[in-house]
Amino acid sequence: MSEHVEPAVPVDPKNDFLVLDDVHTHFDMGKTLLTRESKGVVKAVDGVTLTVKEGEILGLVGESGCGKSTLSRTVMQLIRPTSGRIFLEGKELSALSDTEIRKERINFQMIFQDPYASLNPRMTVLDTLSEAIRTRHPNVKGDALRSRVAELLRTVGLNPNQMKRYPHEFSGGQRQRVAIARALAPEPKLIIADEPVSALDVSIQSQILNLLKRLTREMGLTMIFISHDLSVVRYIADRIAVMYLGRILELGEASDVVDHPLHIYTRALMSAIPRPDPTSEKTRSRIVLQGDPPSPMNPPEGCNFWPRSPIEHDERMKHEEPVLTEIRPNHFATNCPFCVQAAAETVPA
Amino acid sequence: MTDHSETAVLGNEAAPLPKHSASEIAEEELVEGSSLWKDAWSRLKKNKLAVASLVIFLLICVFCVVGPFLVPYNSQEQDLFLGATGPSAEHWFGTDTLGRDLLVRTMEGGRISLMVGLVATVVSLLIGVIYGATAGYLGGKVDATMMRFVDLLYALPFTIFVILLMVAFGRSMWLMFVAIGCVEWLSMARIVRSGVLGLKKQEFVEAAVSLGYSHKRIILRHLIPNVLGPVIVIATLTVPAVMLLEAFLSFLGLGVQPPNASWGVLINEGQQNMEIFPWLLMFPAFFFALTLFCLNFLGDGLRDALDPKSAKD
Amino acid sequence: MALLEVKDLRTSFYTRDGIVRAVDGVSFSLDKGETLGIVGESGSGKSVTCYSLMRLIPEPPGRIDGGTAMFDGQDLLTMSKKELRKIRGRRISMIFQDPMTSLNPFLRISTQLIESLRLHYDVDKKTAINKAIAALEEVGIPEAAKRVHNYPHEFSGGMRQRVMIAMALITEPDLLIADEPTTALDVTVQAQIMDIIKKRQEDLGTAVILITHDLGVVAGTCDKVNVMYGGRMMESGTAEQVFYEAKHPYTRSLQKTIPSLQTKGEELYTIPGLPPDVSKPIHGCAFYPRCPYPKTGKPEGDRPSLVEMADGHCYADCGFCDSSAPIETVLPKSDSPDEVEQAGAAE
Repeated sequence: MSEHVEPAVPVDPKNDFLVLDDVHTHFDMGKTLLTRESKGVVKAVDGVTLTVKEGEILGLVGESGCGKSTLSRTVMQLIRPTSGRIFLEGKELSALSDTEIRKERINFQMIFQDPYASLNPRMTVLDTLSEAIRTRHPNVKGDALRSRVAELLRTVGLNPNQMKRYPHEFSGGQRQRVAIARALAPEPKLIIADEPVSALDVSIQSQILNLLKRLTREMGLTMIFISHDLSVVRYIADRIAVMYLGRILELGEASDVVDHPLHIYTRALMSAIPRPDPTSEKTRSRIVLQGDPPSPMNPPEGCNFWPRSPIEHDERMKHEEPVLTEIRPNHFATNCPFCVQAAAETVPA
Repeated sequence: MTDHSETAVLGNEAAPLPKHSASEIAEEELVEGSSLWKDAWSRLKKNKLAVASLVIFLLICVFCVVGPFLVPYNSQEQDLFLGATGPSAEHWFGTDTLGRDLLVRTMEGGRISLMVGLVATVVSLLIGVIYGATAGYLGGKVDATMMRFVDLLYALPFTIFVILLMVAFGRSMWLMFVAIGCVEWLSMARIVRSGVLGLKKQEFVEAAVSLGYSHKRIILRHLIPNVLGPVIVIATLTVPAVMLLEAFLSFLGLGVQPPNASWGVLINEGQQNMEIFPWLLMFPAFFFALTLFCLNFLGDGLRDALDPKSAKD
Repeated sequence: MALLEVKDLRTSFYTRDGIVRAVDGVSFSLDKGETLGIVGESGSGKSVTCYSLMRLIPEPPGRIDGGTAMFDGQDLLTMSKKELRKIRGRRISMIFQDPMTSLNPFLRISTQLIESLRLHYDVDKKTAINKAIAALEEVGIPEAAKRVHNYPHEFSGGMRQRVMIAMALITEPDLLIADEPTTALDVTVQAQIMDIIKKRQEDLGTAVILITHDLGVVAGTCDKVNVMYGGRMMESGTAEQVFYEAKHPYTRSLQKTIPSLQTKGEELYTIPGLPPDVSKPIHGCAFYPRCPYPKTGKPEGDRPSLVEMADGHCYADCGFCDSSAPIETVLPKSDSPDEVEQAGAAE
C-alpha cells in the first residue's frame, strides 16, 4: 500500500463528466489523552478511481462500513478528500476553495437516506423549495417563484396545493419526494442519491425508484445511486461499482456485474439476497461468507477480502494489493487470482 | 442569496424544468399546513394548569404596569404621621413604616422585578443563542475556545463578581441587569450549543450545506429555529430564577436601592417587621410567589407542548 | 394441541389525537417446531401483535382490548404478572430489531447472558458461565471463552445480534419471537443469522415467530405466513400457498413490487397511494383505495373477515374484486406524474 499503484481504469479529466482519480478519504481518530499515541486512522475511502459518463446512473453497492457514504460525501465536497482529485466537467472540485465550492454546489446535489431527518421540520415545503430554487435564480420572487415550486412538486408526483404544509404532515414516501424536489430545484447536473429508498416501505420503494429513474432520463441528469441492496441497484443503474473496505472490487455494466459477476464478493452478495420463492430458497446453495466485514481502522493487507473469502488466499495475495483490471471488455475486477478466477469456476451465474 | 454569480444562472440549460400547462395555482386551493409551533400551541391550550398560569401571569403584568396609574398615591410619597397601618378602605394593602401606600409599592416593585426578569432573560437569550449556535456550528478549535471562555465565566463566583462590579462602577440597577444577564447567558449558550451539535449531524443541515447556503443562513434559518423549543422552556424558567437572584441581591443590599423598590426589597423590609406588621411581608411575598409558580407551571407546560415525546400521556 | 393459539387479538393505543387500532382482530396458531412469518409494512400491526403477546405494550396509552392467546393451555393476555414473568425469558424469548440498543452497555456479556439463566434455573455461576460460552460458540462467535467477558461495545453489529440470539436461546425456550432480527444487518450477515436460528430450531424444536417486511427472508425460513395490513390479517397459509397461490390483491401486489433479481424491464410495478391510517375508522377492505383489481362495487360496513378454503389457506375476501385475474394484467405500469398522491395524515 505504500507505493502509488497506477490506476487501471482509464481516466480523462478533460472529457469525462465526473472523474475520481485515486481518491482517499481518511479520518484521523486523534491522539490518546496522556501518551499522545495515535488512535489510528480510518481509511474510509482508500484509493477509488472511477469515471461517470454524462447521463448515466452509476450504482454503488456495498455493506455498511464499506465507505460508500463517505465516498458520496467526498464527491459532494461535504468532506474534503485526504488525497486524490475529483473533476466535474473538467473542473477540479477538490482544488477549489470553500467559497468557490459554495458557488459550484448548484451543479451537484444530494438525496439523503432518511426522509424524516433530511427536511427542516420548521419550514414549509414552499419555503424549503423556494430557498433551493433561489440558489440558481436569486432574482425570482413572488408568483413566478411559487409557480416554479408548483412545477417541481408536480414533477415529483405531489399535489402543488400541499406546498404550504410542513414535513411532519407527510408520509415517508411523500417526504422523500419533497427531498428529491429540493435536490432538483437548483437544476443540478449530477445527483448523488445515498440509500434513498432503504428507509421506506417496500410498496413505497418501487414508487420512488421509478420516479428517480424517470427523472434522470427526462432531465438528462447524471446520478450516482448508492445502496446496500444489489437488487435495487440492478434495477436502476446502468453501471455498477461494488465497494468493499474503501476500495472498488468490481466495476462494469449492470447486466455484466449481475449476470456474470467476476469477483467472489459480488457473487456472495447476490447469493445472500433472499428470493421471494419458498421452494428455490429452501433448496438453493449459497456462498456463505465468514463473519462480519472487518473494521476500516485496521483493514487487512493485500487483497482486503481474504479473511472472509471462502477460498484460501496464498501468502502473496495476503500482502500484495491487487489492482482493478479490465478482465472482460468494460468489466473490471481486482486482479486477485483467488477472488476472481475461483469465483468463475465454483458458482454458476 | 446574492453571492451567486450571473454565470451560474446562465448554466441552467443543463436541466430545464419540465413545463406543465397550468402552473399557476390559486391561493384558495392551497392546503394550509400546521407548523410545529401551531401544534405545540394547541397542545398547550389543552393543559389547563399552564393556561391558567399564563392568564394569571398576564393579569399580574397588567396589575403591575397599569395599576400605579389607577391608584391615587405615589410610591415615594411619605406620610410619617400615618406610619404603618393595616389594610383599610383607603390603603387596600396598608402602608409601610414611612406611611407609603403598599399597594402602589407592590405594583411598582413588581414592575422592577418583572423588568429585571424579562430584560435579563432577553439579554441572556440573545447572547446565549447566537454564541452557542455559532460555537456548535463551527465546531473544532473555534468551539473549544468559545466554550472554554464560557467555563471561565462559570468559574467566577457570582456574588463576588457582582460585588466587584458594584465596587468598580457604583451601585446601579442597570449594572445589576448586566451582571445577571452575564451569568444567565452561559447556561443558555451551553444548551443551544449541545442542541446545535445534535442537529448538525442531521441530514437537513447537510442538505443546506450542499445547497451552498451561507453559514449565516444555515445558523439563522436551519439551526436556531430547531433549537428554539428547549430554549423557550429554559427562558420561561430563567425569568423566575433571575427574579430570585435580584431578590437575593436586594436582600444583601446590592440590588435595587431605596426609594426604588422591587419585590425583593419589599420582602426584605417586610421581614424586618414581620411580627408587628405582617402585611408588609404578606402582600409582596404573595405576588412574588404567585408569579414564580405561574412561570414554573408555564415552563413545564411548554416543555410538554414543545416536545410531545417527553410528555406523559 | 397447538403451542400457541391466538384468537381475535385486539390492541389499541388511546392517544391524545384519537384511538389508534393497531391490531384489530388477529387470529393464528403455531405448533411446536413451526416457523410463522408475519409480514407487513410499517404500521400494519405486525410488531404490536407480538408485543401484545409478551404484554410489552406500554400501558397507557396502549391497551389490549380483547382476544385470547393460549400458550400451552394458559392465556398470556389474562395471566398475572407473576405467572407471566415465569414464562417470559424462559419459555418465550424475544429478539429485537436493533442489536445496538438492546444490550445493556454497562454490563459484561457474561453477566447479561447468565442473568436470565440463573433467574429461571437453579444453576451455580460456574455452570452458567460454561453454558454461556457454549451458547456463544453455537451462534458462531470465535474465541467465545475469551470474549464472554467483553462489553457490548467491543462487538460489531452482527456479533451483537448473535449475542442477542444466544441470550434468547440460552434458556431453551419453546417459542422465539424475532422482531425484524436482520433488518439492521448487512445481507451477508443476515444469511448467517437466519441459518443460526434455523439450526437451533431443528435441534431443539423451538417454534419461531418471525416478524419482517422482507418477503425474501420469509420465503427462505417460514412454514406458515400471515400477511398483515392496516392492523388485520389479509391472508394466511403455508409459505407455498401464500407465495405461489396468493389470493388477496395486497399479497399479490406486494410480491410484484419487490425489485428482486428476477425483475427485468424498464418500470417496476408499484402499488399506488399510501398505507391506511389506522387512527381513522376503516370501512370495508383496507386495501380498497389501492387495489388494482377491477371492482364490482365499493365494499362498505365491516372489514371483510378471513375466509378459509379447503386446504387451510385463508384470505380476507371483500367480495367486490375479481381476484382471479392474473396480477400482470391489472397492475398499473407506471408512476406517471398525473397520478398525484394525495397527502394523507402523516403516520
